[in-house]
Amino acid sequence: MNLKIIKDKLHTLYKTYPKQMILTILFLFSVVFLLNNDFCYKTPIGKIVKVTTETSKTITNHNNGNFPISEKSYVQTLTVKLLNTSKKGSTITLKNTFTFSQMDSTKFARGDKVFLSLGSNDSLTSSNIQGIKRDSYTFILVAFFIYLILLLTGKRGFFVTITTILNIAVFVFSLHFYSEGMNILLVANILIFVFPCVTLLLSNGIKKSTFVALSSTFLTLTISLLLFKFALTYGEEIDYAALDYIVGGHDLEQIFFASVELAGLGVIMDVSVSLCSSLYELAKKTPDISRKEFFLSGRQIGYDIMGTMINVLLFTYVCGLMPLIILKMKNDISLITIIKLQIPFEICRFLFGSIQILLAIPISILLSSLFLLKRRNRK
Amino acid sequence: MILILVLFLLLLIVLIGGDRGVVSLLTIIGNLLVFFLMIWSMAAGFNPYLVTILGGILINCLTLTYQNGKNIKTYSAFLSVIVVMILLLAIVVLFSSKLHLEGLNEIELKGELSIFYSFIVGVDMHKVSICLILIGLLGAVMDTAVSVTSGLYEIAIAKKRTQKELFHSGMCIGKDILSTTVNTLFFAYIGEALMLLIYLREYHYSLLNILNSKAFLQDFSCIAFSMIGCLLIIPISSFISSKLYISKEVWKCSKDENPSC
Repeated sequence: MNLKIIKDKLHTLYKTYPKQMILTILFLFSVVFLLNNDFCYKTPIGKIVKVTTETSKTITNHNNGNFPISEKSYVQTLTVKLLNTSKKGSTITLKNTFTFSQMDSTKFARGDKVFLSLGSNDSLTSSNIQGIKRDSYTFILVAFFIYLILLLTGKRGFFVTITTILNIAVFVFSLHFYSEGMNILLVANILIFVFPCVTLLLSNGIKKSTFVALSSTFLTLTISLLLFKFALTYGEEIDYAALDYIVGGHDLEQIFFASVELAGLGVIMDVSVSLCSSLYELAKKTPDISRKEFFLSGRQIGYDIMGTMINVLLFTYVCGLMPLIILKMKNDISLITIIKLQIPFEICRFLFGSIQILLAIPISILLSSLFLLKRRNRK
Repeated sequence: MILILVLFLLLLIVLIGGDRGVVSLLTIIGNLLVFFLMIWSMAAGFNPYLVTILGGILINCLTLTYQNGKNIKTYSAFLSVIVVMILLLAIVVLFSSKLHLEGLNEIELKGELSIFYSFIVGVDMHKVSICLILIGLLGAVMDTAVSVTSGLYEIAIAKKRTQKELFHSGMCIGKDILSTTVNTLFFAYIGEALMLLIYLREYHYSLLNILNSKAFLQDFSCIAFSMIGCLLIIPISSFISSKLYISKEVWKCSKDENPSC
């Protein structure tokens, strides 16, 4: 009885929302596939089927001034079942150690998949865990995003996805040029010209407001980069060796400058498009609006945008610092010292992004009033 | 150099922002204070989940009510953000338990950190990693919520409409701002991840390695969850604000009146 009711309900759902149902089925299929695609890999993959955890010892951290911290260290006995290769189905027993905080170790659970290294001829005697298999979940995350964007926003979402994929392709392609020896700043400068054109034209369409937004983006970028160059030249030196992922080249400052340029692009485009589109609508609906009212409306919209956008930047940049800050605090470095000395790059990025948001507002309003307002007879 | 940038920023905030600019500045400082208070309490041993919930609500209140005013628009945005954060908590916890992104990544461990610092911190970094993602996406989700509720308010007070019409308008507003939000997040990520991506390329990480590496995924999952959050907030805030605007009969307020009616 119950099954028939469910079947009928699903049938009506399918009739009313056919596209969404197909999308959901596609998504569920891809999830099932991604979770079971171990046969596609050459690297040995194992699934943890049994875990026994035992407390082993207590480790103490004496770096924390007068308050040493102790943590229990645990040893896990893992029963791993091989999911591919010629020895598929056989089990291996491995050991894993982890601490309570898991700062540099992992606590495995039943169902986790790991990459293994086996001995020669897939021998099981000298096997080791090489790393955790995370790519299925990465793909599921991306698939979930695409599923949501198509479900909730339909065709618009499709174009946004295409634009993003295109941007990723352009970016990866340009990284290739950098590896071949091209100067990173040159690559970045070309990118900050190409990206807005591609993104704005694709997402907004070929409208008058798009061109105004484009020109305001470029103008804001130029002015803000000049400002940044000024601050770099006349300000205190930053120790670029403190950057996170150094490859050992001599162009650390340039890479940092390039990364700030690219990050700013997003916020400038956002502010420019929001302002120019709204002002375009305004100019269309009230063609005989006075210049002063136009400016005031623009400024009001700018006020609304400014606050929340700066907060977006704040949280995106600053939250990645949490683990390192906690690590340093527990090694007897005070929070104040950490803020003052040890996170200059994120602070820089945030300050610069906010400056760009603030610059983009008057520039967009100015350019909009120049291009979007009808010319009037001077009285 | 930071000093010069701070001076520029303050100058611009006062020049371009005026009084609203100063309010925004105070909100930023307030949010920063809450944020550092949260890190301090997590390091001190308080349950990271509790800290995140309290801190998140505080930041939400601060940004929306203080900066944007106490009115029906911010109230519905506040409610929508809370609903989405609860939804996202479930999603993030589910993915995090499988992705294992806690603690330091393999590149950081190869570096000098192990020489100077002890890794015994007494704080459950798994919980911290979940909180980190949730706080990171708070900003983008709040921004989208405010855009949708404010835009919908303008539409609601112009003429009396049904809830279904308002919901549909809200979705349209959301679709319009979606592309700019996705782009902002995308470029912010590229800027931050540029160094990491150059590093991964230099050391010849294959595509498979990159997709499985903790270093890459720590940043990437943050942005992916932010985008998912921004997507989810659109229907939720459209629904909540359309229901609220109808029940509070917002069309009876004329445009010149106090918007908190």
